[in-house]
Amino acid sequence: MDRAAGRIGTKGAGDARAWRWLLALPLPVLAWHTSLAHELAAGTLASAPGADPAAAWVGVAAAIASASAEAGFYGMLLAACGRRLPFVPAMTVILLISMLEPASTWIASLGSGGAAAPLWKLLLLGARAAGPSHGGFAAAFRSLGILAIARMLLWARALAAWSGASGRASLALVAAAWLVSHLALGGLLALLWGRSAT
Amino acid sequence: MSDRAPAAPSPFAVAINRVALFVSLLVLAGIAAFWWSDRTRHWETPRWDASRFACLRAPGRAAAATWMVAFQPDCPHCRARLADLLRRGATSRAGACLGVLIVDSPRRPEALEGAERLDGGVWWDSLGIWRSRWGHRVYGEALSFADDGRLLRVIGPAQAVDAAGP
Repeated sequence: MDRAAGRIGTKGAGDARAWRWLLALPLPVLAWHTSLAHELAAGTLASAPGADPAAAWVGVAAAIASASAEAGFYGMLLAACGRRLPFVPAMTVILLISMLEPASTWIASLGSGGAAAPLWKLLLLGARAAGPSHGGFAAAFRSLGILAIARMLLWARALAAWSGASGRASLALVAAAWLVSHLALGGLLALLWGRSAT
Repeated sequence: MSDRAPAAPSPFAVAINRVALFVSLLVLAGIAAFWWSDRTRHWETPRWDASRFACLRAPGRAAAATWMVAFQPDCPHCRARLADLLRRGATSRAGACLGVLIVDSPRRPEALEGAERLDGGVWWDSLGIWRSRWGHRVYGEALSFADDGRLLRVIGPAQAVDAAGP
């Protein structure tokens, strides 16, 4: 009985600690909303030309859903190896490091006057700095730059802290997951677009 | 990062997650198989042959080239793209005619609004050639055909058309 009570007590304290992470959510939410609202107002979001800037909240919801799915995926991966990943903190950390994406959008818009992208921009943002990509795989891997690598490093560090695995093993896992997920995305886009120009 | 995992998951949770991981790998393998099958399939190079399509409105004039916009009647992006191309006029297409190829429409489509401005005519892909033979899948793209039917190039739905040539 005492052991059960102790377990419940520990779990409750852990849950409280986990939910405290949600206090960090307004920062990425605000960053995503500001970036998307700006893109919608400027009409640069190709998938939604002329959309109401209020629709940026849909994009924010998608970013939260995407971070949840990513945290769920890593939770599944670790659980399959007999380890547990705290979901709420993991999701919050993913959302926090995903702020690099609005930052990338902002950097991409800097001085985009039709001229070829400078080298520093290509290194930071990957091929996306050079403009639209053609083909599913080119589109899937277009964001591979220093910022994408930084995101992987930050997430691998957080994952190592939670899982108890070495930094190298975590980085290998994150890099492998990134590679496989982007290969799958490239394959899906290639199937979706067929031989059409995009 | 002080929220370390409090305890290992139960054997049942481990088993469930292993099954989920296996299913994820199966899905990935499925995507790879579909992609490979699509990639290695033989597709026809698009070529304009009017006899393969149903003419809903005859072309208004002859030109060295014609842009055929892959148009799906229920697609708002297609309407926006067509309106944009019409607004830009023939000079942005180096004098090429502008026509519409109605795709993925199993029933004969109704008359298209503003069709009188489409000097390349309005055609219905009743046999599904655009998708099943040519392997094209993106609505709103424009296929530029020479007057002998040769495909000159494909212009994506988001691609700029100013001074793009025929």
